[in-house]
Amino acid sequence: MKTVAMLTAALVLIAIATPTWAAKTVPKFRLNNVDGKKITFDDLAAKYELMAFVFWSTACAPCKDELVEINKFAGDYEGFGVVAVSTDSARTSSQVKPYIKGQGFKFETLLDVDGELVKTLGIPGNPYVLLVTAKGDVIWEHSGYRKGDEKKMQAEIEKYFAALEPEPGPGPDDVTEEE
Amino acid sequence: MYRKIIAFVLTAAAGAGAVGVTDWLSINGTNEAFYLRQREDGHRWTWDTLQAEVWAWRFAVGVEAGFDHPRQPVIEATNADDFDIEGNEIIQRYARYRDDIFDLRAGDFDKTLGKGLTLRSYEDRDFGVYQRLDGGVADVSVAFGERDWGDITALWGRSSRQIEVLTAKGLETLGWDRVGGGQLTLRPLDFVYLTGSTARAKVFDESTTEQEENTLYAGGLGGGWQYFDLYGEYATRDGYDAFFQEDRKGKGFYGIVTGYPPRSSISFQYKLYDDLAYRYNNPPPVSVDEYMITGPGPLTPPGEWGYYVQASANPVGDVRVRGGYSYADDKVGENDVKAEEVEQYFANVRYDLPWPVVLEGEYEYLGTLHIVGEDVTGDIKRTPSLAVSLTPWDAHSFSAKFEREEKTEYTLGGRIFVSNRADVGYTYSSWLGLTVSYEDTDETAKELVRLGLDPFKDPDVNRYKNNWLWGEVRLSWYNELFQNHVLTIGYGSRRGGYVCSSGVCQTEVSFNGLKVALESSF
Repeated sequence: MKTVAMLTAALVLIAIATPTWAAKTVPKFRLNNVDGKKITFDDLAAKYELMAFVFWSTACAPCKDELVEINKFAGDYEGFGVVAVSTDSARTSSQVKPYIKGQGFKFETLLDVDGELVKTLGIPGNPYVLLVTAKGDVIWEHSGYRKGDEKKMQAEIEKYFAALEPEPGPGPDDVTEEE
Repeated sequence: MYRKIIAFVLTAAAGAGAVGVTDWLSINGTNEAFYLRQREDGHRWTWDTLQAEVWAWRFAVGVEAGFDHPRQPVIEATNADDFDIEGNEIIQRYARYRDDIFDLRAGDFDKTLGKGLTLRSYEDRDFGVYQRLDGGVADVSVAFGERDWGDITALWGRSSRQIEVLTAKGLETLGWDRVGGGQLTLRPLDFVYLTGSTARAKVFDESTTEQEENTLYAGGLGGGWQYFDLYGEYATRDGYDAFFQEDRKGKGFYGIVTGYPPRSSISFQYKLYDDLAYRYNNPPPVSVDEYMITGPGPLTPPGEWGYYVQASANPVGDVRVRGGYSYADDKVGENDVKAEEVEQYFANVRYDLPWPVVLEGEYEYLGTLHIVGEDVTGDIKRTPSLAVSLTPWDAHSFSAKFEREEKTEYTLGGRIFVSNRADVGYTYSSWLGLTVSYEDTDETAKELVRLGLDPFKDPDVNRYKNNWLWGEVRLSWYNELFQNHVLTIGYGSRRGGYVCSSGVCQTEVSFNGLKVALESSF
C-alpha cells in the first residue's frame, strides 16, 4: 500500500515537474472540419499568428456559454483565429455544424470524433482552451468556463500581440540633426 | 513490469525534456489524482490516471495508466465489489507515426466507421466501460498536389478489454473477439463526398457456446453548399446470431438535411435501424440527448425509427435561441408491435442584457412509454431551468442556476415527484471558483426510494437521502513553469449523475464526504 501511494505521489510530481523543462507544443495533426475537409495544423498556422483552440461538445452547457463570449471579441485582433474543436462522437457530430452556423459563429470548427487531438494535447475535459502560436507553442491554457474567464483569455491575447509590436523608435525631439 | 515501463517512459520524457530538445520533442498529457473520504464510515478511495503522449519528430508513444486503491465506484454499480476495484494497470499503450499522408498506429485505438453504422470502438470511462480495440489502424490521405481527394482507413484488432456484464449466471465477459474493417472516403468535388465502409466482427460471449459473427457494409453520400447540406448513410448486416441461433440480416439508414436561412439553421434527422446488430456498432441517436430505445427485449430483433427537428438561431445581436423535437419508437416492420415510445423536446433562450448580465432559460420534456398489450406504463419528465450570471467588475463574476424536475410516473398511477436544484457560484479572475449546490426531492419520493422504487434512478450510495448540499472550491493556475493545474476541494453530499459544477460538466457518483482532486495538463 505504501509503495503504491509513493508511486502515485511520484507520478503526480513527475507530471507536474516534467514540463518545467519542456514547453508544450502542438504536434502535426489532421482532422475533418464541419464541411468534410481535412485541415492540418499547418493550414491553420498559415492563416493565423495566434489561435485559440476551444474544446467543446454539443452536450456541454458551459462550453456553449464560452463560445458565445469568445465570439464577441474573436474578430477584434488581426492575426487571431478561433479553432473550435468539437469532441462529439460520430453519433452526435452531425449536430455541430447546425449549432455553430445557426448561432452565427465564424470559427473554424474541427471534428475530433475519435478523441485524437484530445489525447495528443492532453485535454482532461470540456471546456478547455489553449492559446497556440503559429509555431505550435502553447502559451496559455485554461480548464472549465465560468462567466468572466474570457477576460483573462482576452488579456493573454493582448499581451501576446503587444509583445510582437516593435519598440517605439526615438521621437522627433530625440533626433539630433547632423550638420 | 508495468511500473517499470511507466517509470522508464516518464524518466525518459523528463530527461529528454530536461536537456531542452523541444524543437522536435514534445510531451503532452494529463494527470488526474483523486482522493475521496466518505463521511459516514471513513471509507477512502484514491486513484490516479496518467495519460501521456511523447512525440519525437513524427513518431510517438502513448500510455494511459490507472492506479486505483480502490477506484471510485462506477456510476451504475451493481454489487458491492464494484465499490472496491483495486489495482495498477496500463489502460492503453500505443505507438504511432504521423505525417501529412500517413497516420499509422499500433496498440490501443478508438475508431468509428460509417458514422457508427458499421463500427464504433467506443469507450465510456465514466461508466467503467471500455471497448477500445487493440491491434493496428492505418489512415492514408489521398492527396495530389494541393487537392485532397479523400482518405483510406484500414483496421484490425480485438477488444482491448472485455466488458463485464452481470447476468443470471454471475459476472460474464463480453467483447469483440476479432474485428477487421475499412473505410474509403472520396471527395470528387469540393462540395460532395462519398464514403464506403465495412466491418467484420466476432463476438466473444461467455453466455453462449456459439460465436456470433457479422459483416456490415455501409455507403454514404454527403454534400454542402452555402444554404444547405445533407448526409445519408445506408447499412446492411449479414451474419450468424448466437441468441436466435440462425443467420440473420438487418439494415439501417441515417440521414440529416440542414438548411441555413440568415442567422439560423434548421435540421431534420431521420433514422431507421432494423436488426442492425448493436454489439458491433453504435449508430447515431436522433433525439435531444443521446437517447436510444431500450428495445423490446431479446425475443424480437432490436429496431427503432425516429426523427428529430432542431433549430438554432441568433435572430438579433444579443438573443440566441435553440429548440428541438424528437420522436422514436421500436415498430420498424409491419409485423412488429410497438413496445416503447419516446418523445422529447426542448427550448432554450439566452439573452445578453446591455449591462453585464446574462439570462438563460430552458425547458426540457422527456416522455417514455412502455406498451405491453393494453397496459401502458412509463413516465414523463419536465425540467424547466433558469440561469443568471453577472459580471459587475472585470475580475468578479457571480452566477446562479435554478432547476426543477417534475416526473409523472404512470407505473405508480400518475403520481408526480419533484426535484429542485440550485447552484450559486463566484469566480475571481479565472483562477478561483466557489460553488454551492443544493438539491432536494419531495418526501414521497424519498419513501419510494426506500421501497426500491427509485423514480430518479439514483446511484446506490445516497439511496436514502432526499436532500444534498455540496460546496466546492476550485483553484486553477497556469504558468510556463508549471503549465495548467486545477485543484478542487469539495465537501458535503451530492446526488450524482451528470453534473455541471464550477464550469466543468462531468459524470459524478453520488457521494457524502470530502473530495480532493488535482488535474494537471502538461
